[in-house]
Amino acid sequence: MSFLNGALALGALAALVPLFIHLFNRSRFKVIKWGASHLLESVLRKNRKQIQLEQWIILIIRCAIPIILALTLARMVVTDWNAFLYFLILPLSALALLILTAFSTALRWPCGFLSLACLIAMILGIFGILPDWGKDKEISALSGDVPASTVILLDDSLSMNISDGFIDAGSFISDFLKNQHKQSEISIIQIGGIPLNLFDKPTSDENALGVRVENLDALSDQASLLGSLDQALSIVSQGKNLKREIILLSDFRESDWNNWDNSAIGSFRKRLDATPNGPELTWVDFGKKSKKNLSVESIVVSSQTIGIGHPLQIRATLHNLSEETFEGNLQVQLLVDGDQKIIDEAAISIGPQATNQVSFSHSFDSSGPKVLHVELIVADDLPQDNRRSVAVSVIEEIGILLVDGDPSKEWLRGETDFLKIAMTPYKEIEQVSKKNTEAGAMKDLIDAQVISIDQFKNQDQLDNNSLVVLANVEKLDSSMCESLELFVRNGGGVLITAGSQINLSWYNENWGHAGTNFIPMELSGFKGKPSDEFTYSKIVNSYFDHPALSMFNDPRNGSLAEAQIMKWVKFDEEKVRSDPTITVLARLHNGDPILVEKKIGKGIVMTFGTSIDTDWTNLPARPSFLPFVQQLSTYLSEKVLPPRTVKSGLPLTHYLSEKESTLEYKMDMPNGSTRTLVPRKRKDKYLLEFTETRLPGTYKLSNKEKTVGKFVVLSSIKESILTKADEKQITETSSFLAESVNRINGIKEDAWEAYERMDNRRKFGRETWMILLAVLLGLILMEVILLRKFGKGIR
Amino acid sequence: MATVTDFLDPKDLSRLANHQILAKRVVEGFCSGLHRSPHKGFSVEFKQHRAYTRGDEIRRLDWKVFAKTDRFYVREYEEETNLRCNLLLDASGSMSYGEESDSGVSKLAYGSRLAACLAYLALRQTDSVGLTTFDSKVRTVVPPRGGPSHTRQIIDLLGQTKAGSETDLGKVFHEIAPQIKKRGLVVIISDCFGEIPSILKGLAHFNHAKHDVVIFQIWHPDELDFPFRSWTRFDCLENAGQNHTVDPAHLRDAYLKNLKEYREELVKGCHKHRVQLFPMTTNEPYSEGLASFLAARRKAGMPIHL
Repeated sequence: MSFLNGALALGALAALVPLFIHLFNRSRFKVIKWGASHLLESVLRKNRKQIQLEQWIILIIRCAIPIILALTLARMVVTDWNAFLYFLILPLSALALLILTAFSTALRWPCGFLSLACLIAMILGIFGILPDWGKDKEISALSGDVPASTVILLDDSLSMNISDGFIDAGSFISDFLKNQHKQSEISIIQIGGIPLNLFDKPTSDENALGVRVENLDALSDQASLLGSLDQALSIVSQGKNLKREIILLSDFRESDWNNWDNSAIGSFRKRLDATPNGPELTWVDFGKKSKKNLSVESIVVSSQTIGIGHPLQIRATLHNLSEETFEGNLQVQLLVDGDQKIIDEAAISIGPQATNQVSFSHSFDSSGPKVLHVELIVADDLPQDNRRSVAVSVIEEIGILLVDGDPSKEWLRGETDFLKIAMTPYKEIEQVSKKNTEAGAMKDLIDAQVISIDQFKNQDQLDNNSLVVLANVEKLDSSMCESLELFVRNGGGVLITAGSQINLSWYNENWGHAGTNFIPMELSGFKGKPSDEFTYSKIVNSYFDHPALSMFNDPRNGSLAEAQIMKWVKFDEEKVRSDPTITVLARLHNGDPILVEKKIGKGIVMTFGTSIDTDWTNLPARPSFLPFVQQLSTYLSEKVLPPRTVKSGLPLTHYLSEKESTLEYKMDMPNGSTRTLVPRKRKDKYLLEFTETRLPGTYKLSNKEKTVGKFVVLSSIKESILTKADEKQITETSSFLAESVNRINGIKEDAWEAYERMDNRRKFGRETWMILLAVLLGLILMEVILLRKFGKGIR
Repeated sequence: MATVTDFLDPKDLSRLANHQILAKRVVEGFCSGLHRSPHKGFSVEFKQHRAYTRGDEIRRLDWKVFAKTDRFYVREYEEETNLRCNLLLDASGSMSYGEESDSGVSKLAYGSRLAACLAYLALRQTDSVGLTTFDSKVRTVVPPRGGPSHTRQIIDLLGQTKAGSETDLGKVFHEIAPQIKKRGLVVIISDCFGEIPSILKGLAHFNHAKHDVVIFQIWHPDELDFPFRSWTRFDCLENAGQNHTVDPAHLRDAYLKNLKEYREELVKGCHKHRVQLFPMTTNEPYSEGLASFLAARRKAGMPIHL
C-alpha cells in the first residue's frame, strides 16, 4: 500500500478531532437538577449497554470519516489484496457488524462476536501475524492500461549528433507519445547545458509535445545529468498518476558520467526513497561509438577590443581525438561573421590524440561587433565541433581623459606630455612632421584628451571616456570624487600617478580606509631623491601573471627593468594584505609595490607609485614606455565592456547610453528564434541583459537601425570527447542513484520496441480513491441515518 | 413574610370571580353554605316526611302528623352545609424543578399560587379551607377553617414552604386520609412522581372515605418535552448524590415514550378511582387552568351556587 500524495495521509490525524470533541463534550457537560428522575432512570437502567454501544458506533463513524477522507485525498494505492483486506474490508466489516449488533436483538451475540473477530483479524494482519495469503494475488493493471506521469530527459548535447543518435531519440519520443494513455501527463526536459523544460507543466497534449520535439536540435552544452534527474524527480513526485517514470535518453559519454558529486547522489537517492510511490528510472542509450573526431578546442585573441587597422592575433588550439595522423594536410580556415569567404587558411600537422595550435593575424577595416570563426576542414563523426568562434569589438578609438596636475606650456615639461605621445603616437608624428605620413594607414586606437586640473570640474567630461588618468593631481573636488567613484563602479578605469604635487594626506583621508576606500593602498610617504641620479631603484623583471604586463614576459617587447626610478610613493601594503580585490602588478627591487590595482564594481583603479613624466624616473624615455602605456590603457579601458564571449548559461550584457535606452532591441539566437529585449536601468547605467544562453553559437543584438553587438556562447570542450562511459561505471553510479534502473540499449535494437517489451512486463497497483470516496459518502449517510434511528430502539 | 399578592394576582382572581368551588358530591359541613348536606335533622328548611323505622330518634317524630293520621312519620329537613376543602401541596424535591429555568417559576411556586387561588375562592364563598404540605411525610397542617382571616394563615404557610426531599405519595395519602374526619373536597397539588400503584392505593383511601378528590398534576414544560441537546448531568432533586451523565438527544425518544406510558397509567388509575386529574404546565397561567377546571365541573352538572 502506498500513497500518491503521502503528506495528505497525515490528515488522518484529524480523526482525533471528533474524539476530542466527544471527550470535551463529556467533560464540559451541563448540570441540571432534575425532578423526573424516575422516568429517566428506568430508561437508563434498561438501556445502558445499548446506549453505550450506539455512542461507540457514532464515535467510530465520526472518527472514520476524516481518516477515509485523508486516505482518499492522499490517493491510496493498493498493490495486493492483503492491503485491501486489512486496511479496508475488515475494518468496514467490523463496523457493519457492530451496527447490526445495535439494531438486532436476536443476532446481537453472533454479530458482536463476528465484529470482534474482524477487528482482531485486522490487527493481526496489519502486524503481519496472519499469513499473507493475498500478497501474491496482486491487484494489478497492465502498464498500458494505466495513465502515467512521465518525465523524459532528452540529452540534446552536441555529442548526441553522432550517427543520428538525436534523431533516434526523437523517434523514440514520438513512438512513446503515440502509445500513451490519454490521461497520461508527460514532461520533456532538454538536459544539455542548463536543463530546460519544454513546457512549464506536464501536459497530456501529445501533439504539441511532438511538434516541439521535432523542431529540436542537439546543439547544447554537456548534459547535466544529476541536476536534470533532480528536476525530473521534483516534477514526477507531483505527478497525478500512479505509474511514474523518469526516462533518460542519452548517449552515455564518459564526460557525462565522470566526477559526480557523491553527496549530491546521496541526496538524490534520499529524495527518491522518500518520495511516496517513487518513479522508476529507465536509461535508454543512443550513444554510438565514434572513430574519428577533431575539434577546435579554444581560440585566444590578443584583445577583445581592437582598433580599425590594428592587427589582431588569433591563436586556436586544435585537438585530434582520433587515432589518425595528419601530416600537413589538416586544413584550418579563419572566417568572419559566418561568411563563407575565407580570410586566412593554414594547413597543419597533428598526431593522434594530440593538440596543436595555429595562429592567424587579421586587421579589420570597419568598426562594429565582429565574430571570428576558426574551422577545421575535415570529415569526422561530429562536424558540429569543427568550428569555434570568438567575438571581438572593432572600435574606432578609445576615449581617455588625461587630467594634468602639473601642466606646463613648455613641450615635454607637462605632466601628461609623455603619456599623450605614448598613447597617440601616430597623431603626434603627424603633428610633428605636419604632414600625412604613411603611418596614417594605421590609426591610433586611443583618443586622448588633456585637461588641466583646474578644468576638471564637470562630470560630463567623463562621458565617452573609458579611462581617466589623474597625473600628479594634488586633490579633487568632492563632487568630482563621487563622480569618479561612480564611473569606476560602472566599469570605467582610473589611473592615478604620483608626482611632486600629490597631496598624500588628502588621498589617504578621502580615498583611504578612513574615506571611501577608493585607492588600492594608502600612500604612506615618499622614498628616494630625484636629484640624486645614483640612488635609484628598478622594477623587478619577473614573470608577469597580470594581462596588463604579460607582454613584457617576451624580451622582444622590451623590459620595464631598464628604467631607473629615483623617487616613488610608498604604498601601505600591510592593511590590505588579505583583500582579494587588490593586486600588486609590479614591485621595485627593494620590495615596494610600484603598480597596484583594485577592482571596484565593474571597473578598476590603478595607482602608479612614481611620476608618469621624467621628474622622478626615466621610464618615459625608455622604449618599453610606449607598449607599457598602450597595454595599460587598453587593459583599463577594456573593462568598460562586459565579455562578449561567454560560456553556455552565463548572461550576455550590453551597456547602453541614455539615448540608446529608448530604442527597442532584439536578440537573434543561434537556432533562428528572436527575442525582444527591453533596456533597464541599474545603478545609473542602462543595460540589456539576456539570460537564455543555453544554446552555444552566435547571438546577434540589434535595434531597428543596426547591429549593436555580437556575442559568442561557447559549449564545453568536453562534448568533443566522444568516449563512451564504462559500463561498470554506469551500473555502479546507477546503483547509487536508485535501487533498480531499467537499461535499454538503443544502439543495437529499436529502442521503442525494447521499451515496450519491458513495459509490458510491469504491473501497477490500483488506486482506491473511488472506492474510498464511496465509503466516505456511505459513512456520512450512515451517520445521518444512525443519528435518526438510534434512540428509537431504546425502550 | 409572604404577602397575599405573592400568591394571588388580582388579575387572576378577577378571572375566577364568577366561579366557585363546588363539591362534586355532597359533603359534610357545620354551618350553612352553598352546598347540600346529606344530614337531615336539625335545620330550618323542611324536606319531606318519612315513615318511622326502628332506630329513628323519637324526638324527630312529627306529632302533628301522628295526630292527623295516627301513623308515625319522621320529619326531615334539608340542611345547607359549607364545603370543607383540604388542599394537599406536594413540597417534595422534584417540585422545586424550574427554579433555574428561564421563567424562574418552579413547580412548587406554581402549585403554591394555585393553592392560594383555590383557598381564596373557597373562603370567599364562606367555605372552609385547610392546607397540608408534605413530602415523604406530612410536614405542616393548617386545619380547615372559614373566615377571611384564614387566608392570612394559609398564605403564610405557603410562603414558608420550601421543597424538601423524597416523595412517597402513597404513604403520605394513607397518613393524611384518616386525619380528614369529615367528608369534603381533597385537592392534591403534586407532580405525582412515584410508584403509580402506591399512589393509586393512597387515592383509593380518600375515595373510600367518600372524599371528592381532585389532582392538579403540575408539569414543567422541560419534563414534557425533554428539550436538552448537549451532554448533561442530571442530578436527582430528591436523592442527593444520584446523577446520570448522558447525551439527552439520544435518550429523548425513550424518555417521551416512558412519560407517555406513565401518564396513561395515571389517568387510567384516576378514572378508576373517580379522581379528577388536571394536568397543568408551569408555562400556562394557572388561572386559565383553574378556570377551565371550574368550567368543566359546572358542565358536568355540579351544583353551582353561592
